[in-house]
Amino acid sequence: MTEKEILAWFKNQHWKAHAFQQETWKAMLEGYSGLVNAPTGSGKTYSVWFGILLEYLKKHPDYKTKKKPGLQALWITPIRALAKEIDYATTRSCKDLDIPFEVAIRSGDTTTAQKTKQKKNMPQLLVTTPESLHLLLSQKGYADMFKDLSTVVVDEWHELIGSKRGVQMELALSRLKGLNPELKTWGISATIGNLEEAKDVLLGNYGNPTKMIRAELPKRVEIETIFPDKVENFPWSGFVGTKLLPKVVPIIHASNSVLIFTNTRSQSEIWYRQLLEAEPGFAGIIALHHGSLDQKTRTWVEDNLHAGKLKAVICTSSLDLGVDFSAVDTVVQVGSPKGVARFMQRAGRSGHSPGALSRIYFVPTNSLEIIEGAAMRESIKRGVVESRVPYIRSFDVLVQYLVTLAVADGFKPEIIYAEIKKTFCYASVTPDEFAWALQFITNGGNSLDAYDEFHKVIIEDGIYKVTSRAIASRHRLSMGTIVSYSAMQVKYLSGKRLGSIEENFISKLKPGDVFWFSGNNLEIVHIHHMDVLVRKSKAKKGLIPSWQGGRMPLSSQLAEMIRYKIDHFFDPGTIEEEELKKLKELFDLQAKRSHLPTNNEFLIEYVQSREGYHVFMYPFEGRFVHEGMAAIVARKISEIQPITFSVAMNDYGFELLSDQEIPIEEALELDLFGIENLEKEIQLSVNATEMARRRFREIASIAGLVFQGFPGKSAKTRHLQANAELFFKVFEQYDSGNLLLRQAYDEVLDFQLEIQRMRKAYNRINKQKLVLVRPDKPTPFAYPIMVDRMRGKFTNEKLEDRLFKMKTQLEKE
Amino acid sequence: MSAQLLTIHGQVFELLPQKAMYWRDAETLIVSDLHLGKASHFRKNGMALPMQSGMEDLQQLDFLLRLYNPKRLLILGDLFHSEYNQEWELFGALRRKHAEIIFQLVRGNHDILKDHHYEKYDIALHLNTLHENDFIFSHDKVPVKEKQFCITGHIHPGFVLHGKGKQSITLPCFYKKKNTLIMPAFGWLTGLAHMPYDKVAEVFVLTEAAVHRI
Repeated sequence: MTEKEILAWFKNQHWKAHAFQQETWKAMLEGYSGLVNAPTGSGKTYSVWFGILLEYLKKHPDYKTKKKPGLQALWITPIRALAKEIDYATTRSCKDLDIPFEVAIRSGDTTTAQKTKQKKNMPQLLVTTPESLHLLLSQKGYADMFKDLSTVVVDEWHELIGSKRGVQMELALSRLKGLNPELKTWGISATIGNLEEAKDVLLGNYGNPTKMIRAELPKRVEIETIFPDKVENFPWSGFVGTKLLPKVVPIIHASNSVLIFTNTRSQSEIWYRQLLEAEPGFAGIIALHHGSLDQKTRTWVEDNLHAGKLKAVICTSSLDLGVDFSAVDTVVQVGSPKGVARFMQRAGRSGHSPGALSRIYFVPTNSLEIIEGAAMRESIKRGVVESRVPYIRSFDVLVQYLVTLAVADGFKPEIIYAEIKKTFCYASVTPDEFAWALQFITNGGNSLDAYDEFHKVIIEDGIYKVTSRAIASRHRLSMGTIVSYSAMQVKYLSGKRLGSIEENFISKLKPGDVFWFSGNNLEIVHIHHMDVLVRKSKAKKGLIPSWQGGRMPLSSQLAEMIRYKIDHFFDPGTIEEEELKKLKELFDLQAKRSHLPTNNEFLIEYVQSREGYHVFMYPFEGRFVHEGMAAIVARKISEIQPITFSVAMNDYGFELLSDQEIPIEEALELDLFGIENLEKEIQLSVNATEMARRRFREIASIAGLVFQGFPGKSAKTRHLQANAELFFKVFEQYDSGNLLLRQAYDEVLDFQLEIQRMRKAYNRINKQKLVLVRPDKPTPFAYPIMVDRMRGKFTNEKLEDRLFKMKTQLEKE
Repeated sequence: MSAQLLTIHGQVFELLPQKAMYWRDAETLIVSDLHLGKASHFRKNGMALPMQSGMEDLQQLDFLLRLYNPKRLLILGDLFHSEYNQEWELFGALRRKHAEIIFQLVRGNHDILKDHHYEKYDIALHLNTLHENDFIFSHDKVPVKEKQFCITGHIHPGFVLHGKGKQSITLPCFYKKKNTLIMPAFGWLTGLAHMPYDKVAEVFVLTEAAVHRI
C-alpha cells in the first residue's frame, strides 16, 4: 500500500487530506519526531495514524502473508474515553484497507484475561494512558514487550504538559528511548501559548531530528452572554449562578443536545437539582457528569450523549476532553471560564464540522462577572491564548518512577540517570540530587546510624530492586499522579457504587442524615471504614457535598482584557457591547461610591465596618498573584505597628481586614509597592510554610509517603494512615534538606504565587497612580471579596496576646 | 511554666502545657495517646518518616517524670502505635530508668502488642477501664453514673478560637464536659480533632508555655 491508496481511501470517505496530514506522513517516514498542532475534529488522528501505518508497510512489504511482528506503536491519550475512539478509527481504516494490523486498548478497564492475552500476543498498536504505561513499566520483562516499538504518539499533549502526568510521560519516554534510541515521538496538541516549548518538553534532548507541523485551521467562536432582566436585582457576589437558570431552560428546549459546563462539582450537582425542580419534564433526559461519579455512571452518560439520547448534561472539566459528541449543538458555560483556551475548548465541544461557527452561551454568576463575556470576546478577536507551564524537577514523580523500575526488573542508577538527564523536567538534576533520590528509596533518607527497619528498595550487585511482594503490590496500587483526598465510597445497600465524596464532608453527618449526590437525595444508612452506605430518600432538601481542589485563577490574558474593558468604559461612544451596557449602572455606582480605575490608576479602598477595618486593592491579576501580594503588603504595613490581618481575595482584588485601625496613609508613604527583590519579599512575607504544606499533600502522595490503602483494608493497615501534614511537620523539623519538601516550596513560587506574573504586575502597578478612596460603604468591587469565607492570615502579634484578645471577646459574648 | 489547677471531687489535678496532667493527691502523672513507635512502623512499611521524629516524645516524658517524680505513671491508651518494633526497646530503657515508678496502661485501640512485651517492662495492663474511688480512667468515653468522673483520651482534642477580623487559632486542649475530661494527645506524631464550642464544656487550650482556660 502507498500514500496513493490512503488518498483514495480519504476520497471514499468524502474527505480531503489536509496539507498538514500529508506533511506529517512524510516527516514520519523520514524518521522525524515532532508535534502536530491541530484542533479537535480536524482529522488530527489520521495525520499520525497513517504515518505509523505507512512506515509499518514499508518495513514489512510482506505484511499480508507473514506472521505479524510485535508492538509497533503506542498511542497515549489522557482519558480512557478517547482511547475507544482511537481504537475505533484505526481499526476501521485497517479493515477498509484490508491490512492485518491489530489494535488494542490497555487501561484501568482492561480485564485480567485481556491483559494476559496481550502479554502473550502483543497487538501492533496499543492505545493507553500515561498511568497504564507506567504500570507496564512496573512489570517484569517489560523491555521485551517494547523491543519492536518504533513510534509513540502522545495525543492531546496540551492537556498533559501543564501537569505531573506530563512529567510521567517524559519519564516513560526516556526509558523507551533508552531501550531504542531510534524511537520516534509524535505529539498532537491544540493551540496553546507556548507550542514551541511544548514540543521541546515532549521531545526532550535526545538529538533526533524534530519538526513542528501546524494545521492552520481557524476556529470560529461566537459568545452570547445571558443577562438578568434587571441587573440591579442581580447579586454582587456568589459563584453558583442559579439565578439565571430559568433563562437556560429555553436554551435547552431549543437545542438538540446541550453541554452545560460548571466550574466545580458541587455547582454541577446544584444545577442538576435545580434544573429538575424548574422543569420536572427533564427527568430522565438530562444527566450529570463529574469526576467524583462512579466510572460506570460516567461512561453511561458519555455513551448516551454520543448516541444523542440526552437533552442536556451538566458537567465539569470532566467533559473538557473526550469523544466528539456529534449530537451536541449547544454549549453553555456557567461562571467565569478563567481562561481563553479552556473556553475555546469547551465551545469546540459542540459537534460542528471544522471551520463552522461554534456558539457558546456565557452565564455570569454575579454582576461584575458579566464583564468577562466582553473580555472573552476581545481575547478571541485578538487571538490570544494561554501557555501551559511545564513542571520541572518534580522529585515526587522521580521517586515514584524509580520504585516502579525497581518493582519491575530493577535498574542500574547510572543508566537511568543518563536517561532522565535528557528530559526537559530533569535536565538540571545534579548527581547529588539523584543520589538523594536513591537514598530516599533505599534507606528512607536516614541520617542516623541507628538500626533501621526501612527496606523499600534494596541493592544487589549494583541493581536497585524491590523484593518484598507487599511493597511491590502497595506500590502498584498507589502509582499515578492524580491525588484524591481521602475519598469515601458512596454505595447503595445493594452494593452499586455511586461515586466518592470526601471524608471532610461525611464526618459532619451521621446515619439518617440526607445529602444530595449524583443527582439523588440519599439517606445515610451506615458508615463503615471508607464506605458510606445509602438509600434513596424522599426528603426535600439535602446538603450538597463540596470537594477540595484549587480554585483556578483567572488567566493573565483574560485579566488583561478585563482591565482593557474597564479602562475604556468611559470612552465616549465605546459602549456598544451589551455586556458593558448592562454594567453601566454598577460601574456608575462604583464610580460614585469610590472610583472606577483606568489603566493608569491603581485603586485602593479603605472601609470601616462592624467587622473591623478593611483595605481593598485591585490589581486584576488573578487570585494566586493576589494572595502573594496581599501578604507582602500586609507585612509592610505590620512594620509600622504589630497587627493581625485576615486576608481574602478573588480574581479582581484582595482585602486586608484587621480588628484595629490600619495606618494606610503612612504605609503608602513607605513605598508599599517598591520591590527590589521579589523572592526575598515573598520569603519574608508569605506564609510559604502554610502554602507549601498544602502543595505537599500531592507530593507526599505521589512519592509514596501517604498510602490511601487497599479497598476493604484491615485495622492494621489503618495504622499506616497518616496525613501528609504529619510528614511535612516532621521534615520541617528534622530533614529540612529533603528534596520533596524543597519541591513544595518551589511549586509554591511557580504555580501558587505565579512569581513571573507577580513581577509583571508589580512593574505595572509601579507605573500607575495610586488612588486612595475612603468609601462609606463597601463598593461593588469590594463586596464579593468581603463576603468570601476562604481566608488566610498574616500576623506579627504574639500568640499569647492574640489569645488574650480572643478570650476577652468570647467572654463578652 | 504556667499550669492550670482543676479540682474534681476534692482532688487536685494540674493541667500541664506538656499535654500531661499531674494528679497531686495520688502523686500520679497522667498522659494519653503517645503513639510511640509510629516512625518505625511507617519505615518498616517503606514510608520514610524520619527516625528522629519518634524520639522527642520520650525525652519529654523523661523530663516530666524527673520533674514530678510521681509514684505512678498512668497512660490512658495508645501507648504504642502498632505492631512491635525496635522503638519499644527505647521506651523500655526509659521505663527501666524510672524503675521505682509504677507504670499503668489502660489499653487503647492501638495497643496491640503481645502481653509479654508489657510484662517484660513491668507495665500493668488494664484491658477496659480502671476504677479508683469515683474516677474512671479509660481510653475512649464510657457511660458514667452521676457521681462518677471519667478521664479519657483517644480523640486528640483541639479547639479553634475565633477573633475579630475573622481571625482564628487552633490549639490542642483538655476538654471537660459534664463529668468527663478528655486529655490532649501526648504524642507529637498525631493530629487534632476539632472540638465543638459548647456552653457547658470547659476548654483548656495549650500553647508551648501555658495552659489557658477558655
